[in-house]
Amino acid sequence: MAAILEVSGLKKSYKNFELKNVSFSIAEDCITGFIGVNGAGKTTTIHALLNLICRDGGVIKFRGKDISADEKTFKDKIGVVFDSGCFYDELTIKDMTALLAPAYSEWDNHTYKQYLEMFSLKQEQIIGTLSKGMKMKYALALALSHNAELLIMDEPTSGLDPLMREQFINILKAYIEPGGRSVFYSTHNTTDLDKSADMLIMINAGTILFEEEKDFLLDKFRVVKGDVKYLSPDIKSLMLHFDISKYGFTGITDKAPKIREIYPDVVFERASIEDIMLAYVKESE
Amino acid sequence: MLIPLIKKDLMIVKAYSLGVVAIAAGLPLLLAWRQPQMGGMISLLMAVLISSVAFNLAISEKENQYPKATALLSSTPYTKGKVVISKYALYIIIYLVCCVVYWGEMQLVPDLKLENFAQATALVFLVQALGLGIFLPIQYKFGYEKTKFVCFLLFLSPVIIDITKRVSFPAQLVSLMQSNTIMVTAIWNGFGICVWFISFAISKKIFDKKDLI
Repeated sequence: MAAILEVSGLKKSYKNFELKNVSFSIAEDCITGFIGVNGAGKTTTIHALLNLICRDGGVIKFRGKDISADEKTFKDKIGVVFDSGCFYDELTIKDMTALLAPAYSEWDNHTYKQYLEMFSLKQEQIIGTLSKGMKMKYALALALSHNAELLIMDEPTSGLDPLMREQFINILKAYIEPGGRSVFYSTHNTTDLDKSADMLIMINAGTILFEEEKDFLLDKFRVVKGDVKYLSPDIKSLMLHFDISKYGFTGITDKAPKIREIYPDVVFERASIEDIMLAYVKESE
Repeated sequence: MLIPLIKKDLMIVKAYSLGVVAIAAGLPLLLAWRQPQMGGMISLLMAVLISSVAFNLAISEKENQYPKATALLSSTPYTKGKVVISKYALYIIIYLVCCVVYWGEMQLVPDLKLENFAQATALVFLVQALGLGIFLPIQYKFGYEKTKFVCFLLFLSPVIIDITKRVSFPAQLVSLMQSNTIMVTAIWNGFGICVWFISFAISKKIFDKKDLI
C-alpha cells in the first residue's frame, strides 16, 4: 500500500518533554490508530504534523511532497478534528461553517447538510450550547465535507457515548471505502481501535515504540498466566512485562511458542490492544 | 478568502462592535461640542486609535479564551499567514470606516472641517500604522495577557501629536509642507504603507514560529 503521509525524524523539545526522532508512515486505504498513554506525545505529534507548533527538526511528506513547500494544498486535502473546544462558543453552527467552508476548494454543502441531519444538528444552534459529543459530531461533519484525502483526529472518541462511538467507527469505515483515503487518529481508548483500526502506531515518552498491522500484533502477542513456580529467569526473559499476585503471574509475550515448549502447563489467552500497550509502557518504565 | 476571517473577528465581539462604531462616529462630534480645541484631525485620530485599540482588546481577549479555535483555523487552508493578514486588514478597514464617517460628519458640522482632508487622513494613517505597527508584533510575540496594558499607551498618541503640533518646525519645512501638500500626503501614505508591510512581515514570522497550543 502506498504511503499517504510520511513522517521522518520529527523533533520537538519542551522543558519537560521531547519528541525524539519520530518517524512513521500512514498507508492509503487504512485506519491508523495512534496510541499511547496520556503525555506520551500523541497530541504534540499531531500538532507538529499540522504545523501548529514549530518543529525543531524532521520532514513531513504528503503523497511524496514536503508539506512545507505547499502547506495550503496539504491542508486543503486533510480533515482535522481536535478533542474539544476548538470553536467559538458565541457563534452558531451556521456562522462557524460560513467561516471555515470558504477555506476549502472542494467544500461540498450537500454532504455537509447530510451529516448535520445524520447527527441531528441544526444550523441555528449556538455552539456554546452543544454538549461535548455534539461538538465532536459537528467537527466530524466539517472534516468530512470537503473531500479530504486524510483525516487527522486527536482523541475524537473522548466524550462520545457508546452508540455514537459505534456510529463514528462506521462513518470512518464508510469514509475510506471509496479508496485513496486514510484516517489517522489518536486515542488512549483502545477498545475503539479493536473495532476500527487496520494499523497501530504506538508512542511512549516521545518515542515511537512500534508501527504494526493490528491483526499481526494481536496474533503475535499473548497473555500468559501461570503459577508463580513457573516464573523462572528463562520465562521472565521471554515476557515483555509481567505482574505477580497471590494467584500467580500474568504477563505479555510475543514468544508464546517458546514458553509453551518449556512450560506446557501455563495458560495462554488472546491479548487486547490495551494489554499490549500497557506492557510496552511498563517495560519502558 | 480574508472576508470570512474578518467577519469572524467582528462576530466574536458582536457585543462590542456597535459600541466601537458608536465611538468612531460619536467621538469627533463629542469633541467638537465639548473640546473644540481638540477638534479636526485630532478627533479623527482619536476615533481611529480608540476604535482600533478597543477592537484589538476585545478580539484578543476572545482569542485568548479559545486558543484551539485559532489552531483549528490554522489547520485549514487559511494557514497561519492568512490569520495574521486578516488582523491587519481589519485595522485598515477601521481606518477607512472612520475616515468615511468623519467626512460625512464634516459636511454637517462646521467645527469638524479640515483644511486639507487628504493630508490629515494621511497623517492619521501614518500614526495608526506606527502605533499598531509597532504594537502588533509585540502582541504576537508576548501574547495578549502580557501586552494588554501596553495597548492603552496608544490612547496617548493623539496627545503626543497635539504636543508635537506646538513644537515649532523649521520654517523651510513648514513652507514645504504647506506648498506641496500632495507630495507630503503621498509621503505620509507611503510611509504608512511601508510601516504596515514591515510590521506584517515581522508578525507573520513570529506567528509562524509560535506554538499555538
